[in-house]
Amino acid sequence: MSIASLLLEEKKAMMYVEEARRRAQEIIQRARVEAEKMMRETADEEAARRELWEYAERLKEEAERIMSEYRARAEKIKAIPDELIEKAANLIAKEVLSYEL
Amino acid sequence: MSSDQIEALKEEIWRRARERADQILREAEAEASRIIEEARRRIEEMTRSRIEPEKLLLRRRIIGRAISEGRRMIIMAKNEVVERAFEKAIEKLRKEAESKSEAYVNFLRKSLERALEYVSGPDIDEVVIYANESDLSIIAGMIKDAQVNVRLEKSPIIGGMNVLSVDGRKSYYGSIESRLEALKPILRERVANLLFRGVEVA
Repeated sequence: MSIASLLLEEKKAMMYVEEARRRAQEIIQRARVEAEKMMRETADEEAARRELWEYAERLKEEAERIMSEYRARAEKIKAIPDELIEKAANLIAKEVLSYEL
Repeated sequence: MSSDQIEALKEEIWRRARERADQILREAEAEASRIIEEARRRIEEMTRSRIEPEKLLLRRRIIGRAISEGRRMIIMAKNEVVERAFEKAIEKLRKEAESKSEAYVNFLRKSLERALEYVSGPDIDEVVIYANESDLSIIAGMIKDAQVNVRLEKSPIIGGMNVLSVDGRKSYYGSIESRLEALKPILRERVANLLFRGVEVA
């Protein structure tokens, strides 16, 4: 072994570091490309329309759930016990005949 | 320089090279993450400023319509139930009128008093009382001491009476149907309170 072999080893190590630098540039370049792609997709009108359409579809499902809840509540109201209807009818008849109102 | 020393130097060269390479790659990964994060942040900003207002409009339109339609269903359901109560009340009132119950006869008397008080006057010579045929004889018994000439006419009403001055200038609507109609707004509220108290609010 000699100084020459040390210099050779030093050169190899430098190349190793250079390779790392090259890979680092690749990593950064890939990220830039990916970021630009993401930005392009966002700026794309078609993508915006698609997103709005998907959102509207989700809203329609939500609206249907809301309507179902209201339907159930309406059915519950309609199923009010006959005794209560009877009580209300008695109240009406009494007020009509009483002349108190 | 001994071979051990040279070997140690080589190891040191590689240790430093690896350390440097790792550092370069770590920094590159960090920079890549920063670039992606920055893009995401800008996309979020763009989305917020461009799509979000449209989403808000969509939400208001679709969900708003569902809520308003749902509320309409609740109101319709309540109206249906209240109407059932009124229909039942009409049945009851018809029975009261047909059976000439004490409450009904008292009602006839009060109706007559009020009608005559309202319709008669110094310039009124005669009034016409429209009543259900089955009530005419009862009313006839009640008007013996009336201060005004009274003519009785049969009318297809459930009960009570409608009274008109002969010249048509004054009228009093005291039939069961008229009273129900007149009282309906107040009674609807009271009936709704009775029926839906604790059930639900639209």
